[in-house]
Amino acid sequence: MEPVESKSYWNASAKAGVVFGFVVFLISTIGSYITIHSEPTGNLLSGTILASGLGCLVAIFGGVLAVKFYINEYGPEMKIGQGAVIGLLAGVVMAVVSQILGLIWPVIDGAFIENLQAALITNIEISEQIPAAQKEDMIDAIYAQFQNYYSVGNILQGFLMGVVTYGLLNVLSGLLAAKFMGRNPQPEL
Amino acid sequence: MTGNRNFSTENGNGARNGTGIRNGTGTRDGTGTRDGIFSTGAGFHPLLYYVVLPVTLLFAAVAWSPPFFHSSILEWHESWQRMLFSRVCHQQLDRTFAVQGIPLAVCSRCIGIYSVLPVALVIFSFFSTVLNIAKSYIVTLFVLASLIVIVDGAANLFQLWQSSDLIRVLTGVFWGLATALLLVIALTTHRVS
Repeated sequence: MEPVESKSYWNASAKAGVVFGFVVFLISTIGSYITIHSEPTGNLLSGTILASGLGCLVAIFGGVLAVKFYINEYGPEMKIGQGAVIGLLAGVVMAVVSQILGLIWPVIDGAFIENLQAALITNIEISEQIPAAQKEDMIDAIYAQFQNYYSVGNILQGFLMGVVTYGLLNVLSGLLAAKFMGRNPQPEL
Repeated sequence: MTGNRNFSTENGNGARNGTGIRNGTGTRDGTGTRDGIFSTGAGFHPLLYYVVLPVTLLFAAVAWSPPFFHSSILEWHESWQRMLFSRVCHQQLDRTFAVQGIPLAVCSRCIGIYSVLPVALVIFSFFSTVLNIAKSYIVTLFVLASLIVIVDGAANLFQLWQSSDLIRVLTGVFWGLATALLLVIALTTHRVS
């Protein structure tokens, strides 16, 4: 009796998740540095346009790459449901990797959090989009947010949000990739 | 028995397509229901009902929800709805629709995408057979819609021009429609009964 080959999704998902987790982190960090080094415009999230726009575009390709890795490893025969699961797992890995790198980077650049906080607060101070009465509260909120950057609650929250967003978006991209890159297995008769 | 016998090769006209895949034109689907030109969607992959539609509905509901939960921009800024989308949307206040002064969770382009996606999935599912015939055009349409969003987004980013919120929401709606079309054909033709 021949052993049944076990097709694990994890290998493909982990590889794609690590690659895209790093890319997403990179884009996000570049966006933060653009915010830090830009002249304050009063726009609350200036500099993150690039990060979030590109981040969104890039993040949905995690599921596609994971399916590609899976096909390279096991061949093109797969159901779209498998593509969805592979995409979901890639999204989870992506969230973990980007979250971990996001925690490590401020250790490497010790002034990163302080500079980003200062840039955001300056933008709020001169913003015309936020009512004057709410500016102080928002500045306090941002200050508290950065003070709690390494709190367990903040880390878990970031991880959970990442899993939901990246995971679910990559479910969709994974199933589409399985549809267009894979081949439906023929039934054995 | 050769082991590769096609048992489901007949199309609606009685001709054989030789692929073993039902084309949905008047043939029975895997659940024993009949797909016509205006398919009822009864033969859809369960992923549509149990994963794709709930996910898109969830995103749409969360994207619209901040004005119903929060009463100030501060609350909005600290909300889980904003945080959920913060990784995939810039959420700039000047490019985000607001209801009674409270912004939605995503920008105007994204709200177009998230709003139209679940609605379009449901509507297009009734026309799955027709859509499958136009599969190649749909892929082209998706590429075109993606290019429009990328070009308009990049032009705004590099300040070549500034689109109005209406243009942004329309490009989002167009991309959402193209994505829904793509998902519908993905969830109907990839089946061997």
